[in-house]
Amino acid sequence: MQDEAQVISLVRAGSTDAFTEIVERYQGPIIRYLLRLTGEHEVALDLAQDTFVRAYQGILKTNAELSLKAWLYKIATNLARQHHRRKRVLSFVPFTRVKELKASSTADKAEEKLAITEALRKVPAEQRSCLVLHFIEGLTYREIGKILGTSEDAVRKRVVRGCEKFRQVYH
Amino acid sequence: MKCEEVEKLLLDYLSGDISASQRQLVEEHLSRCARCRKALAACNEAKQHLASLKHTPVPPDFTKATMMKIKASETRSRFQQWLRPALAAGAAVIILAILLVTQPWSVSSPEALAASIVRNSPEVQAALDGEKIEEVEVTTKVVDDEGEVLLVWVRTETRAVAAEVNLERKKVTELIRVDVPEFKTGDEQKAIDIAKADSRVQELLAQGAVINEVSLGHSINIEDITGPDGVTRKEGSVKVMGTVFIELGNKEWHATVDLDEGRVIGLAKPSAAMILVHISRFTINIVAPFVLALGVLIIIGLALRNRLAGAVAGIASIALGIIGLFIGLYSMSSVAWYIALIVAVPVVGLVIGIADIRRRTSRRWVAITGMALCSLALAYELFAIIIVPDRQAGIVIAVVLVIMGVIVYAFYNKIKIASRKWLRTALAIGAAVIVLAVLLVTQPWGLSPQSVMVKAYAATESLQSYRMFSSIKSTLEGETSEATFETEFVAPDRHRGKATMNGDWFEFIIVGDKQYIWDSDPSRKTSVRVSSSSILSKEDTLKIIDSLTELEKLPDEPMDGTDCIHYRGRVDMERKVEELKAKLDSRQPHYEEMLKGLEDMRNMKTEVEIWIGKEDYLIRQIKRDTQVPSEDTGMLDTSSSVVKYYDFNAPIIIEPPLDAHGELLPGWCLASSPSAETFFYCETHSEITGEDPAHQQISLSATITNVGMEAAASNVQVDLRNSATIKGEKEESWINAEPSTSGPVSLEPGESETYSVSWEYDASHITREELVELLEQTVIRIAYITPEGNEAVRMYSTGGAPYPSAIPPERPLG
Repeated sequence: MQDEAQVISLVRAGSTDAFTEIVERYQGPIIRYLLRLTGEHEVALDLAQDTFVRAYQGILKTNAELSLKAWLYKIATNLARQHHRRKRVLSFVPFTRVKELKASSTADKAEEKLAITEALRKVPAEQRSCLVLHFIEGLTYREIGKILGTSEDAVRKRVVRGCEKFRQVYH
Repeated sequence: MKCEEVEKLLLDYLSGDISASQRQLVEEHLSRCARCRKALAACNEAKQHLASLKHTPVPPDFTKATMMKIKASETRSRFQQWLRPALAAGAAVIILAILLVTQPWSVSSPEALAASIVRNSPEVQAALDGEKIEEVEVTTKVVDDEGEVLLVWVRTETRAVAAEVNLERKKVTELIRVDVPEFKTGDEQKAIDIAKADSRVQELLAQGAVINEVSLGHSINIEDITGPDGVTRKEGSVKVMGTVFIELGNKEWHATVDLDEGRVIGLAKPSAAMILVHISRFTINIVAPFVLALGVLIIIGLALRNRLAGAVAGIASIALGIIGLFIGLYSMSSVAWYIALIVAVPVVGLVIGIADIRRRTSRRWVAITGMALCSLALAYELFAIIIVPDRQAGIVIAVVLVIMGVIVYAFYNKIKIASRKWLRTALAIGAAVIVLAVLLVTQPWGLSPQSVMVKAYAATESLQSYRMFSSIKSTLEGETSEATFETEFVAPDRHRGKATMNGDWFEFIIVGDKQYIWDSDPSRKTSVRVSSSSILSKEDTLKIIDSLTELEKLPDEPMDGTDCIHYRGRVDMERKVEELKAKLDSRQPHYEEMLKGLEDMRNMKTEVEIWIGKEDYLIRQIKRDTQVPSEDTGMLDTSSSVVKYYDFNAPIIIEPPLDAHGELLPGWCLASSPSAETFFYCETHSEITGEDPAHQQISLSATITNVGMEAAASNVQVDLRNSATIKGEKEESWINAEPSTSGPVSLEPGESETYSVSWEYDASHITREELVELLEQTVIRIAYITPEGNEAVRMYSTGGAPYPSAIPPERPLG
């Protein structure tokens, strides 16, 4: 696996294919993150694609030294926010979670996972982002702060509040 | 420890990433605080549950699909990045080029017409032996009975002819060969020497001025020469003229030198406005095209993602905006090329700004500033072009709107992405403002006389010299009188002029505060009041249009070879009367009479026509026609005046009428300038008693009121004269009237005094009615001492024709 900075300079030099490496490395976390934020598998896949397209265009346009991981999360967060805003208008349209149900291995586990997912969806978006990034993706408070544009302490607070909210709705 | 502090440490406590002392503190708090214990439990639970979500299947073809999307977007974005701006720039360039070539707004000038007639004339070709014409210059325009005729100077490498072109017949009517003197070596030095010998130049040099530069040129002069055979021919001569530039301080004077005659024929100083004109000329001729070319290069550079172009784009946009504003504000020309340029500069700046705002997110404010400046310049220029009373202004506006539309279309996506909410709002407001402004201004379609007059004022201000000729013809009770007034003016304070009225005349020369007068009647103490150093002051210029009603714009009309904007209107008498009435004070003496006089003015009809140069906004002619129905006779009293302005910035020299020894030339005298203005109002009353026609006792009284605003008159003495003066004396004699109080009379403003005189008259040869008429035409001479202690005289006539008062400057008798 190549060094990230090397890949970026290859992309800037005109090699589009070099970006494949980045897509492969980060698609899992990004899709997962978007899935937790949006709750819809199809939407998460779509937004993940957009995240990579934007990241690619951004690499060409900026010269700044990038922390690619944080940046990808940042783009994904923004896209999810935009999607959320747009969706509010269409919220009366019922959606189904059949696909995710099928994807799980056993019925019991699937049921529990579904409950967790459902509970997570009820946590306010900002706290949810913090919970997902910390507990699922294992990012540090500092990294999360950068992605969400806030301080470390604020992230800690959001995580604690998010946990309380989660517990409240999960039971 | 408080809950809030514990809350921060809770997560680290959970993960075990905490120091021993802190751990102790947290545990201590948890043992006491149920709420924090609950929070810890929640965190622990969430951590456990959420861990189960760590694995999510990724579709196998995700990478492939994503990469395809990236490649697709790349093609599209590359297309958007430079093809669309290129298309927009191309469209703008094509439209501008078409405009430049077709120049739909320019009406071909008489000069251009004459030049084309000359170039295509076989006679001219023959006279020049078929040599290639190098230069065609229109020198003078004359109007004779054959119509408009222009004098044109045509030059090839070795020959020169002067041609007369009849514009109506579109033919060359006369060809005169002229010898063009070559510039000789040493001509420049000669010009300097002549200039240095001139007293005015010496004066400048004594003040520390430096001669900077000399330029040589030709001046053509065509005269009718009657030969010995009695045939009148036209002969042309060309003189070598030099212009010597003299710098004093930061001002530059221009001395025009006639090398043949060896004298300076003109010395002029450019005013501050002229300097600004030079700067704006430099900007529009050199700076603006250069920056415009640079701007186009930057657009291309941006399209090709050139880094340098990107780095300078924001600044370039600001620079184009500033230059656009400057040339928009200070260029008054309606020449097509200039209009194209002053519109193109901000348009290109706007394109760069829009391209930059998308490209460089970090310095967005620079691009926004540039865009704002460019928009402002563009809006102003649209406005400026609209108020140029040009028939084709609509075309220009439409074309500019199309260009802007193309650009906005091309950059629509970029604007959309780049704009935050406020920017979008700002753009919307800006667009609304522009649309409103356009609508407001175009309402009277393309014409606002007020704005034309403002431009006229600005143009007048920078004038260095001009000539003016006015004539007034009035008919009062069937009798016609004529007066003319001609004057020359050289900045800052030299005037020369001549006034005539019914054969009476006087000439004057004013240099600074010295007035020289040559009057046909030397006994008159004439003085001239100069109202303004310019043709018309700003207020007067604006007032002309403001005072008119039913103002209409007539088709443009040539006046002395210049296309002129032509207005016609009627003086709003009702309004004027009301205004004057409001100024009247009922405590004033003779209030009733004045009121009645004002009421009579309502019957007056004054029509005013005005001609203003279309390109230079200089007033060329003002014509006034007044008609008053006379109450007594039922006849129509009329007065018509024409004031012409011409020879703008011509080399006019005005010198005091002094001989070599500084003595006054014959006929001339130095006038005392009237410093304090005193005006009187006179009312006479006469009484005739006695039965015997040969011994009529006549009593005449005159009430004199000082109606001046400030100056008091002391030692006021009154003399009368009329055809029925004291028997046995010569008709020309004056008789002294006695004041009602004894001793010297002083009149403060507003004060009055009645003077009376009585004498015996032999009226046996005339009827009583005729005697009354004689007495009605009494001339009153008031001699007084001004507050400065000077003797002054004013004369008033109770009858007869009034002096035409419309001609500036005023010439009060006295």
